[in-house]
Amino acid sequence: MTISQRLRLSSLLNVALVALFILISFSLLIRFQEIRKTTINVEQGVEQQMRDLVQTLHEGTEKPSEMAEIHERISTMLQGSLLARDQEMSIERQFTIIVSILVFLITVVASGTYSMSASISEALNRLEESTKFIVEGNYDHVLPVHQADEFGRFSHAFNQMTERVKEAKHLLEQRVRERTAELEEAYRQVWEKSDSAKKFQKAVEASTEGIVICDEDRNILYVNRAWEQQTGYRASEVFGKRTSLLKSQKTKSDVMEALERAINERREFHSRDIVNRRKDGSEYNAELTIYPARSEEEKGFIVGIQKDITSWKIADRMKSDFVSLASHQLRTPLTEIRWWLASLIQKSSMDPKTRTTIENAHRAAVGMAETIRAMLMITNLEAGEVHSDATKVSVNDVLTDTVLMLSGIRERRGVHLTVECPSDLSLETDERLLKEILSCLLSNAYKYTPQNGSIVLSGKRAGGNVTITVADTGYGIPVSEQSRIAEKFFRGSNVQSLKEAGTGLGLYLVYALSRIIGGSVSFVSTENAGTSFTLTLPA
Amino acid sequence: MSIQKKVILIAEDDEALGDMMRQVLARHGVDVTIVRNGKEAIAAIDRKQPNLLLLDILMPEVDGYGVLRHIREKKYVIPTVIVSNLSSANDQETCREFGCKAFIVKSDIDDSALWPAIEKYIR
Repeated sequence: MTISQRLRLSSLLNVALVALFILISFSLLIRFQEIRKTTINVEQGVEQQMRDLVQTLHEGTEKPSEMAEIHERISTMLQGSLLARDQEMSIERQFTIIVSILVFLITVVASGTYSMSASISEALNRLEESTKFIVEGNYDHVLPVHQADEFGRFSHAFNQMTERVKEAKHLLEQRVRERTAELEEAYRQVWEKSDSAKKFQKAVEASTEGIVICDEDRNILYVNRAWEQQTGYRASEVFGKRTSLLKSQKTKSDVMEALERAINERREFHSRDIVNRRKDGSEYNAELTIYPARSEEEKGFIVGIQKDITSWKIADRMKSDFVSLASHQLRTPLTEIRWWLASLIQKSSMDPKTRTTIENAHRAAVGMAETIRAMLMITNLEAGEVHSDATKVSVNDVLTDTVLMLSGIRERRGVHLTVECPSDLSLETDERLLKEILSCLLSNAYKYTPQNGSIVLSGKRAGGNVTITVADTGYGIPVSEQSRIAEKFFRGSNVQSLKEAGTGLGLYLVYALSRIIGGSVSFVSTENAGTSFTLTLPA
Repeated sequence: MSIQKKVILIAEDDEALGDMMRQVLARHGVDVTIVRNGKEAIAAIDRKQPNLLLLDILMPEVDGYGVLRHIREKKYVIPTVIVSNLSSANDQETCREFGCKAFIVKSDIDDSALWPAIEKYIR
C-alpha cells in the first residue's frame, strides 16, 4: 500500500472512529435519557400509588379486592422500576466498553500515523542531502532505492533526473565548444575573406616608421606617410622610381655591400649605420630593416622599414666624445705621474722608506690607469660598440706584444715568465681584442703570483682550434668562489688584502670579449697552487 | 744602418712627457727629435722623413690626423705608432685605416715599456 493510501486511510479511520464515537455516545445518551424518563415516570407512579394506598389505608377501606388490586399495581410498578434500573446499568456498561474500544482504536491509528510521519521525515532528510550533492555539481551521486512506495519511486525518478541533468550539461558543454570553434572559424574567414588587405594597409599607413614596398627590381610600389615625412618625397613622386634615390655617399662601403648582398640573396638585413638623403638634399641617419618576401605570384617583393635615428646618433656621438675627452683629460696627468714615479723607482740612491712610498704611489697610479681602461672598454661593450674585426694574426707576435706592454709590472713583481709558442701559429681574429683579453689574464697572473713564482704563457694548435694558456703558480681562486669569476667586480676573497690594486673588471672583460671574438674561456685553479686560464679560439 | 743613425720623431704637445720619452729612447742610442704640434711635425717630416714617427692625436694647430693625411698625400712611407691617451674604437679604427703600426695608450704603460713596444717598427 502506498504512503498516500496509508495516510488517506489513517485519516479516514480517525474521522470514522471519532464520528462513530460521537454517534454511539449520542445514541446511548438518548437511550439513557429515555430510560431515565421511564424510570422517573415509574417512580412517580409508584409514589402516587403509595400515596393512594396510604390514603386508602387511612380511610379504612378494607375491601380485599381493592387491596389486592393495589398490591398488584405496586408490584407491577416495582418490577417496572427494577427493569428500568437494570436497563440503565446495562447501558452504562455498554457505554464503558464501547468507549474503551474506541479509545484503544484511536490510539492505535494515531501511533501508526506517527510512525508513518517519522519515516516520511527521514526520507525527506535523505532527499535534502542528495539535493545538496546535485546543487554542488556532483551528478554522480545516486539516491538509494530500497522502498516500493512513493519514496522508492521518487528516488528512482530523482536518479533519472540527475542522470538527465548530467547528460544535458555534457551536451551543453559540447555545444558551447562547437559554437566557439564555429565562431573562431567565422572570424578567421571574415578576416581572410573580407578586406584583410585593407586592414593591413591601414596599419602600415599608421605606422610611425617609414615603410616602403618595392618589386624585385627595387622599383617603389608603395610608401607610407611616415616614409613621406622622413624623406620629403610625396608618394606620387616616387612610384615606379628606384629606392636608390635616397642614397647618400655617407653610408660606409662595407654596410652598402652587406645591404646589396642581402637583397640579392633574399635575406633579411638590419643596420643602424645607413645615411640617407632627403628630397631637399639634407641627410639623416637611418636604422634600416629589409625583409625580402616571396609572393604567391611569380614575382617577389621587398619591404623596407626605416627609422630616423639622427638625433639618437647625435646624442650618442656627444656621449662618446665626452667619455673620450674626459678619459683623455684624466689620462694625461696620470701618465706623467706614472712615468715620473716609474723613473724614480729606477734610481738607486734612495732610502728604503722613500722607495716603498714611491712604489705604493706608482702602484696606485697603475691601478687608476687600469680602471680607466677597463671602464672605457666596458662602456663600449655595454653600448654594443665593440665589434670583432678579424685579420690574420700571428699568435707569437700577439704574445710578445702583450708581454712587452706589461714589462713594467713584470720587473716589479719579480716573477719568472716563459713564453712557448710556435712562430708559425696564426689565426683569423681581432688582434686588438685578443691583446686586451691576454693582457687582462697576464696582468692578473703577475698580480696574483707571489715573488719567485712562475708564469707560463703558451699558444698551440688543438684540432681545429688555437688555444692560448696563461698558467701561474699563484694564490689561486677559492673553490667556493670559482662559479662567480665572470661577474663584474668579482675579486677572490684570498687576494683582496694584497697590495696589488685590482678592479674586479678584468675577468668580466675577458669573458665578454672572448664571446665577441667567438672564443671560449676555461680555467683550472687550486688555492695556493696556481691558476691556469685557457682561451680557445677557432683557427 | 746602425741604430745610432736612426731618427725617431716624437710629436707630443705635453712638454714633460715628450722629454721623458726622449730620455727613455735616447738611452737606446737613437736620435730623437721632439715637435710640439702637428704643424711642426709636418715641417719636420718634409725636411727629413724619420725612421719612426711617434704621433700624438690631440695636438694644437694641426692634430695627429692632419699629420697622417699629409703623409698620405705626400705618399711618404713612414712607420707610425700612435702614442696617445685617446683610445676609442673610432680613433683606433681611423689610425688603422691610415696604416699605423700600433696604438699605444700612454697611461697604460710605464716609460720603460715604451722602447720594447716600438723598437720593432723602426725602419
